Amino acid sequence: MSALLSVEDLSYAYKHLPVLHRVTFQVRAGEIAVVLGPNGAGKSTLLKCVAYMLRPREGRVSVAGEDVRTWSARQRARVFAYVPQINTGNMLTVFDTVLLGRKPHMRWSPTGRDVRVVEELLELLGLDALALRPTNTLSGGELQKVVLARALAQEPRILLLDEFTNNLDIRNRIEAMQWVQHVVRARNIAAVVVTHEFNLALRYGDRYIVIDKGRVRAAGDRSVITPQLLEDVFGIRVRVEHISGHPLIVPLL
Amino acid sequence: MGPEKGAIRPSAESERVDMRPMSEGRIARTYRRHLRRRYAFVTALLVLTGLALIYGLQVGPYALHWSRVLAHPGQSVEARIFWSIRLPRVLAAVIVGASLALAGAVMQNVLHNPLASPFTMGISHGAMFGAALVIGVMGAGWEGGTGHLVGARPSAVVPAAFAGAMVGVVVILVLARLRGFTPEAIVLAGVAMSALFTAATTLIQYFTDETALVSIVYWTFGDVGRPAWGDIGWMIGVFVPALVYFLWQRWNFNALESGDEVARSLGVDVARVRLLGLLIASLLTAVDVAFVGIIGFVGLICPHFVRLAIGGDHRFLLPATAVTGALLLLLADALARSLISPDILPVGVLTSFLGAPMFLYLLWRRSA
Repeated sequence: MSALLSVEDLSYAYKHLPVLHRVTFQVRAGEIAVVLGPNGAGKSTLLKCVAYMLRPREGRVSVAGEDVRTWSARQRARVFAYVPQINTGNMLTVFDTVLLGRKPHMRWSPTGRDVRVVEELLELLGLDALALRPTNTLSGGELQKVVLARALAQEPRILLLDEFTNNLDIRNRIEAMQWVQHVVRARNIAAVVVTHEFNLALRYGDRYIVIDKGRVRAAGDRSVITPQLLEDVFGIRVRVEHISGHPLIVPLL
Repeated sequence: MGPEKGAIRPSAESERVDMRPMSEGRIARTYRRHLRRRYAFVTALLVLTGLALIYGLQVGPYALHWSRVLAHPGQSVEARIFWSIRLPRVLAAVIVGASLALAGAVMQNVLHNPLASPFTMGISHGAMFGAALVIGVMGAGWEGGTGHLVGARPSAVVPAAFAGAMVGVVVILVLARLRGFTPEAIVLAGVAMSALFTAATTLIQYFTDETALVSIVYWTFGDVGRPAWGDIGWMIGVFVPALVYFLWQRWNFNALESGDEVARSLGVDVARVRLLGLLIASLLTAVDVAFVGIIGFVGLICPHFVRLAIGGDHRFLLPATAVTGALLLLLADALARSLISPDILPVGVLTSFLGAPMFLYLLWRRSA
């Protein structure tokens, strides 16, 4: 099976400060790729470059073999859905916020189908009771669900999540990742997820990209995540334990 | 078109949804009801504004009887008062109120700043400088012989005020375009331009004679009685295309509410929406300020009032804010004409007087 998302030799610099250097990786349909790396490694920049929200200096991003560079912003928004690290509520209702996800598909106004897509997602994520609440009255966990629903309303082929599970309690964190996994499998799309949580990453990731100082240090399946690699990249000693068959990364203090 | 095909191709899950008949569920029905309430709100505001307009036509030192106005068109004193004083005045209040409020709503959205108003980019001070320059240096504005000041002579002062208002705006927008200014930087640049124009105006006032000085000060009192029919044509000619453009952009404004990054990820050209929004809102404001002078607080307060009532959806926020601005200025002007009748207060003073406490009240409500 060939890759749905393919990133080749991607480089980016803010003014004269290089951030990404020849980043290469692939993600297949139905897979969750997890990007790991210390603060300032270039993870968020990578996500934005993949979606062409930032224009890469060099390199190529392709989806199902097609070069993303030639697409219009609207075309890109129908393929990539991006969820930023920090989300704040505003005076739009939950329904209208999710409906915004239909914007790349809209002409003058939302159609009946747009409304049904939103309705379906609100039901799926259990947000129906909140449909007419302004998003600035929601809790952090509720807001994250709304933002995820907006991204899914785009009906993207690639989901880009930047530290999506931050600020969520343990239950919401697991639920959110389960939703992402469910959607990725059911719709046969790909997700690229930036996170700092090793154990959540090991649980839900299908593929791993470890970056440090803008370079890929390792990419591949779970077997690339070794104590040696984590020590090199994060500067901490860890051990991998197995509990109930699940690998668990334990920092050694 | 590969990406089109790929993006639209529904997944197994949504295909099941599509197979269902067009029936909408409970959430969609609730949402439709919510939309109908929003339409009803805008309609109610329109009706109220219509009533305020009729009321505004009747307020004044001379009591008008509708039968006589309509019976002798163009002949009776009443008909003349109606056609050349009352009606233009009331229409000016509608257009100026709607324009300022609309410009305020757009400014607050594209600058991500609840304190933004039509004057954020230094328009009022720029217009004042333009007016002061022609009045003070070129001696325009004094209507000699009548014995009292009736305001600045429009032929020279209006274009000068408009040009003054737009100079600062263009400078800021060019800088913003060249250097990729953030919204905060644009607001600060507006503060800087205001300070510069204030200083220049003060300098003119310092060196000019009393007559010009009085004229300059008088010009700044916003007064909707100033524009003639032709001027109103200009204002409508700018207002209508601006309204259409802003309504066309309503989903882009909604996307901007969630921040630049989210908007960009939804395919919005953020820089373009921001710059064009600022330019058109400024143009709208500058035309009005050139014709009627400075009318404060309408543009700041109306979007807040409407947001509190019906939320932040720009499909409804923009039209409702425009109508609220018209309503507010109609009522304020009617009050300005009746408070010390037969004398008339400049409505700009009144809006600030009423607007400031109303704004504090809104803040108090919102913080509760």
